[in-house]
Amino acid sequence: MEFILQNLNAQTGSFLAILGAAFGFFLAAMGSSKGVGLAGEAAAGVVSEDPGKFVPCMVLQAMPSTQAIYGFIITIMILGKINANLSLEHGFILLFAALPIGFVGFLSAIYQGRVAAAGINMVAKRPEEMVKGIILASMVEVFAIFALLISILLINNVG
Amino acid sequence: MSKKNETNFLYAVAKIKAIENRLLDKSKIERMLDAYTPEDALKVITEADYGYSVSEVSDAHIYEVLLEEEMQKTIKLLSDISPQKEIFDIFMQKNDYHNVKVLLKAEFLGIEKDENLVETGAIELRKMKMSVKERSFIDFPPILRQAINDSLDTFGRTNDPQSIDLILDQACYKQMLESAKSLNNDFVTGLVKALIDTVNIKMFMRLRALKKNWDFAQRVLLKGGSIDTDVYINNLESPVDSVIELLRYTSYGNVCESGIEDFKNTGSVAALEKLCDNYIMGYVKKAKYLSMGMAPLIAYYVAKETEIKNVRIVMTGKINKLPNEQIKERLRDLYV
Repeated sequence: MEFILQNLNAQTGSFLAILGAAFGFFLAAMGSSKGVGLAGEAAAGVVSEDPGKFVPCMVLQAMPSTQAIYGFIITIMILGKINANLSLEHGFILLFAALPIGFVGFLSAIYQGRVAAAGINMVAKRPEEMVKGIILASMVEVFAIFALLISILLINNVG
Repeated sequence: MSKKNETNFLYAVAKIKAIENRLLDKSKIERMLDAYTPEDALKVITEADYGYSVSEVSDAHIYEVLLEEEMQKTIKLLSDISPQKEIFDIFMQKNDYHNVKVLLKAEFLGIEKDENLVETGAIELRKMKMSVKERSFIDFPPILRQAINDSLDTFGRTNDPQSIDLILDQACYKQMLESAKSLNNDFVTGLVKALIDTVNIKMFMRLRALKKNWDFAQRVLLKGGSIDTDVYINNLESPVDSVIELLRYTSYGNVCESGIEDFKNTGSVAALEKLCDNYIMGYVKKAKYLSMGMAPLIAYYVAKETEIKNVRIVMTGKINKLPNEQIKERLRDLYV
């Protein structure tokens, strides 16, 4: 009986860790897709009238894609921690470690997409102010970076 | 409107923001003013790609053709890029009512007045002509149909062509307000209400000047604005200063104060009209800093309309050889 429970614990630990790995990436990547999509629509609008503004528009459009990269990093790190003897406790830690980048990444990517779209509108009017648009969008990035750090710190709890 | 809907307009808004750069700005208007001949002034707007038949227009006197074409071009552009075509209904329906008025009056007075018709209605002009001729309004919107029947009926009894104007104008703004409300967008509803209010304020001053009675005012003043028609009707005979006092604390305080002051001194509503137009422009300028939603598209339409109005003012001024100061005085505020 005890043997079965221990065995189950080990497998549940891995299961929870894999769940976390999946969550971290898919939430963050979903947010990035939405954010890049929003900015992309705005970029297409501007470029259709003024093809010369393609480069600044593209730079701004790409900004919300970083959240997916962060999610990817966390997923890889969690997968690196998984082994046959992962305890239930560690499994839970890894699951919860993925949540900051998952949720924060999801929302911040969408909002960053909106800021980027607004920045693209700004570039349509004043191409020389592109850098300011990028700075405004980077403000949202800060929270995704915090989330990434927290996720990494949490993962490091698992020896 | 929900945020989800708002992002549908991202492409259209970004495109419009890029196109806005091509609106005539102050320096281009100045260039038109500085032109020696009307032809030179016209060059500025042909350079700005006005209309379709640019190369064929060499005579400054047919600039109207260009302006009409430019309006059509604007509506086509906006409805092409907008994911929701019905947002421009409020403006296009206004043109329908205009066309109906022109057609009915032309018929009753027994004259052909095709040059006053506009192509940019929600109902195709050819179809509109046919329907009015055959009196079959089955597929017209209910408010328009009702208004046409009412005005035909009233005209039949009174033989007064003015009644057609009164009934159709009243219905026109009712329709605009209804269309705006169905869009469920505060910006658009606010715009139509502001349009109604400014029409009413101008009308109110004219009514006072012509010493019209309450009954007539009741028929003329438009309902649905943010200032109730009772306010005007109750003050039809009170002194001018008390009217200014009354409207001072509405958002039209500024318009009324200087506009009515000018009206008192000169007896002309020209200044009041300009202030009203500027008020509307001030309202739509709020959309300048929005990057999603339908407001920037609506604002672009109003901006273009105002631009065309300004071009018309400059061109007529140039053709009639008015001094620049006089032309400048009449120019409306620009969007850019």
